[in-house]
Amino acid sequence: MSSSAQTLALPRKNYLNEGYGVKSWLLTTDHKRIALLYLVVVTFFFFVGGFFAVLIRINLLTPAGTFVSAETYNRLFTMHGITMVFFFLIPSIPAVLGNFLIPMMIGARDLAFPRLNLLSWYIYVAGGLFTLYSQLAGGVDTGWTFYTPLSSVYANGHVVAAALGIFITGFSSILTGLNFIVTIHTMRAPGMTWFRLPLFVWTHYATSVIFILGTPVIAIAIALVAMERIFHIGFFNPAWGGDPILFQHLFWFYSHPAVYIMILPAMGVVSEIVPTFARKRLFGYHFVAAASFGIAVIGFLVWGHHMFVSSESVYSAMSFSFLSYLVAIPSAVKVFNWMATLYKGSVSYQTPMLYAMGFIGLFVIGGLTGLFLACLGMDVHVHDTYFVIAHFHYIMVGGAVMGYMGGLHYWWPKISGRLYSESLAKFAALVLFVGFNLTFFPQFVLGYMGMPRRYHSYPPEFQVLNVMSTAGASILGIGYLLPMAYFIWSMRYGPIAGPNPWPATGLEWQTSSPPPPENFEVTPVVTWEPYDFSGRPDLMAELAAQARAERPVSEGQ
Amino acid sequence: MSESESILRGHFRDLPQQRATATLGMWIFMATEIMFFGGLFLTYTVNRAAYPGIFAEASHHLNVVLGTVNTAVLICSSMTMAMAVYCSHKGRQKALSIYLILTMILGLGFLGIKAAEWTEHFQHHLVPGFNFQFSPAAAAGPAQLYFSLYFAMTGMHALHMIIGLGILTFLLIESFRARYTPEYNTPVELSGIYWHFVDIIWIYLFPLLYLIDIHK
Amino acid sequence: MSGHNERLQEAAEKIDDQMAIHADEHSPSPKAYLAVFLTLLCLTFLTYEVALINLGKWNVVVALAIAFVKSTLVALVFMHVYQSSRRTKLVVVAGLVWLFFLIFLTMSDYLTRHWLY
Repeated sequence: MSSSAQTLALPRKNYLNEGYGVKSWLLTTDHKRIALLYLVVVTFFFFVGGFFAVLIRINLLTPAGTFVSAETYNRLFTMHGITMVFFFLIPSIPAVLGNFLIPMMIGARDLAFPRLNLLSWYIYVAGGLFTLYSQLAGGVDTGWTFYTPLSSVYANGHVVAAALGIFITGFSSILTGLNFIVTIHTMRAPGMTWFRLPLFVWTHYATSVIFILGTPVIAIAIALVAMERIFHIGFFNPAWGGDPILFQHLFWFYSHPAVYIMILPAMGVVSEIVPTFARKRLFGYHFVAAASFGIAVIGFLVWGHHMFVSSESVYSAMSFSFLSYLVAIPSAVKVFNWMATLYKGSVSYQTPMLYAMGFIGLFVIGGLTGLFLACLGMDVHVHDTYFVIAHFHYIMVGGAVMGYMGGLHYWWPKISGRLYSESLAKFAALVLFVGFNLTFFPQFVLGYMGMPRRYHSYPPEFQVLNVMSTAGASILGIGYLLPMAYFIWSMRYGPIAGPNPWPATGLEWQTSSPPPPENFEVTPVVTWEPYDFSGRPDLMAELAAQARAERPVSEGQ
Repeated sequence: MSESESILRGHFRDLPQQRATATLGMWIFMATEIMFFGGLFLTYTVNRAAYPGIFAEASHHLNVVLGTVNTAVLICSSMTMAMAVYCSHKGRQKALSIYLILTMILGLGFLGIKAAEWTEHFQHHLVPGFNFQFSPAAAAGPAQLYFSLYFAMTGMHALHMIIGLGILTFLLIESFRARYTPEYNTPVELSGIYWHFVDIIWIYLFPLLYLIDIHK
Repeated sequence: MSGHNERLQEAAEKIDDQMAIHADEHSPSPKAYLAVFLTLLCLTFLTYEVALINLGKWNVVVALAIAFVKSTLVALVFMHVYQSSRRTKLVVVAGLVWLFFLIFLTMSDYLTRHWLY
C-alpha cells in the first residue's frame, strides 16, 4: 500500500467498467451504480434550487424588490424550498453516500433489496419530474410548507401537481429507509456486531427510522390538501368546519423529523472524517451511537415548536418547547465527542477535515439559535423573520451541505479511484465557508431587527445587510461550482488514489478503489473495533511514509 | 439442491438470511402503513372530538347491517388466509389453492358490498364534491367532513384490498405451479401478514364509522 | 471482555433468527386459528350489541377496547407475532408507539386550548 502514485493502477475489474451502455446503468441493481444515478439527479436539483435562490437574492438587493413581481417572488421562495428540501437535502447523503457505502461498511455484497433500491431511484425521478413540471408550468406560491387554507382553497398555482410530485417522492424515501434498516439488521458480515459498526451506519439507521415512521404522515397531509382542492371538502377550511391547524400538525409531524433526516447523515459523515484526520479513535463511540437514536426519537416529539404563534394551546406549546430543549442534548453530546476526538490527536487539515470542522462550528451556531427559537417568548418575536431563515440555513447549508461536500471529498477516491486537486479543493472550501457566513450571518441580524421572511420588499434600513447577503451568495455559488469542475476533471486526469489514500480504518477502505462489483473479493470477517488506529500497524506505517515524504498523499504528482 | 439454488438470490449468504430479510422488510412496511392510516385516524379523532353530535347524526346514514356483515366477511377471509399460509408450510398444494380462492372470493364479496353501500350514498347525495346535500343545513359542513373521512378511509382501505387481491392472484397462479413448499413459502406468509393488516384496519374503521351513538 | 460480549450478542441474534425461521414448525394449529376466528366473530357481535346500549362517552371506549382485543388476536395468532423474533415484535410496538405519539400530542393541543380562555 505505497503512497507513490506511480505504482498504483486502477483495478481491472470494478463496478464502473463492469458493463457499458445505458441499459447497464438504467437497469442496474448494483448499489454503487444506483448511488451514482442519485448523484447525478441530486446535483441537478441542487442547481435548480440554487437557481431559484439566486433570483431571490437578486430581488432582495433593493428594498422595493422589483426585480420580479410579488407573485413571482412567492413562487420563487416556494420552489426554492420544495426543491431544496424534498429533492436535494433529504435524499442527498442517504441516497448517494448511504447507498454507496452502507453495504461496504458492513461487509455485504449489496443492500437487502437491490431491485427496490433501483425502484426508489425511478420513483425519485418521477416525483422530481412532476414537481419540475409544476414549476415550469408557473409554479406554486404557498411556501414549501403548503399552509392551509391558502394551499387548499385560495392559491392559484399548480398545488396539486407539486403535491403529487412530493407524494410520489416520499415513497422513494420510504423504500430507501426500509432497505437500510433491513440491510443493517440482516446483512452484516461475520463479526460485524452492532458496536463495531461505523457511526455512519448508526446515523443512517436512525435516519431510516425517521423515513419509515414520518414520511407516511406527510403523504396523508398532502393527499388531504389535494383532495380538498379537487373535491372542495373542508378538512382544513374553517368555512366548512375544518381546522387549518390540523394540517400544520400533520405537516410538521413529518417535517420536523425531516430536518433530522437532513442532519443525522451529515453527522455520520463527520464522525467518519474526524477520527481519520485526527488519527485517533472516536471519543465516546457508544454515546455518539446512542445520541443518534436520541435525536431520532425525541425529534418526533417537538413538531409543535413550528406552531407557537398559530393559536396552538399554550400548555401544548410549553411541552413542545421543553422537548425542543431536550433534543439539543444528544446533538451537543455529539459535538463534545468530536471535540474530544480532536484533543491530543494528530490533526491534519485536508479538505474533508476542513468541511468537517466547518460543519462543527456552523452546526453549533445553527443549533444554539435553534434554542433561541425553542424559547416561547423569543419565538414570538422572531417567528417568520429572517432569524428563522438564518437558523435553518446554518444547519442545513452550514451543516448538512458541508457534511455532504465533506463526504463527497472524503469518499471520492473510493467512488472514482482518483484524487482531486487538493489545493483547489482547499480553496473552494474556504470560498464556500466565507461565502456562506457572509450570506447568512447578516440574516440573523436582519431577523432580529424585524425583517419578515417571504416578503419581496423590505424597509430601506435593511438594505445594507441584504446587499451583504447577496454578495455572500455569489461567493457561495462559486464555492459550489468549483468542486463540480475539479471532480469531473479528476475522473479523467486525477492521480490514482489506491485503496486507502488517507489512510482510514473501515471496511470500505480494505477493498480496491473503485470497488469490484461484489464489493469484496472474499467476505470479510471482522475482529477489530471501529476507528482502531492503534491496532492497525499497516495504517500507522502508511501515515509514517506520508510524513516522511512530507507531502500528504492527496497532492499526488 | 438445485431448487434451493434457484430460490437463493445472489447477494445473500443462505436461505435463512434471505427469509429473515424478507420478513423484516414486510414488517417495516407494516410500520409505514400504521403511520399512513394513522394520519387519517388522527384527522378523524380531531374532527369527531370537535363535532360529536353531527358525526353521530351523519353516521346514522350508514347501513350498520351491511357494515357488520362486511366485518364478518373480512374476519372469515383472514381465517381462510391463515389456513392458506398453514397449507403452504405443510406443502398441501391443492388446499393452499383452495384457501387462496376462498380468500379472494370473500375479498371480492367485501368490495362488492362496499360498492353497493357507496352507490347508495351517491344516490342519497352523501358524496362530498358530488352534489352533497345534508339536512339540517347548519350541520352540512361538519357532516361533509364526516363523509369525506368516511370515503377517504374506506376508500384507502378498499384500495389496499384491491392491491391485496392482485397479490393473491399472483400467489394463486404460482400455487398452481406448485411453487410453494415447506422450504419456500415466504411470499405466502408475507402476503398473509399484509392481508391480516388490512383486516385490522377495518376492525377499527367499523366501530369508528358505523357505530357512533347507534343507541339513539 | 468486549469481544466476549460481542460474541454473545451475535449468538443471541442468530438464535433469535433461527427461532423465527423455525417458527413454522411451531406455528398455530388449525384448531387455534378456528378458536381465534370464532372469538373474533363473537367479539364483532358483542361490539354491535354493546353499541346499542347507551353508555354515554364510554361507548367509544368500549368499542375501541374490543377492537384492540380483536386486532391483538389477529396480530398475535394470524400474523404469527406471538412466535416471531424480538425484532419483529419491536417493529410492531414501535409502529404503535409512534401512532400514539401522533394522536396523543396533537390532541393535547386541541384538548388544552380552552384551559386558558
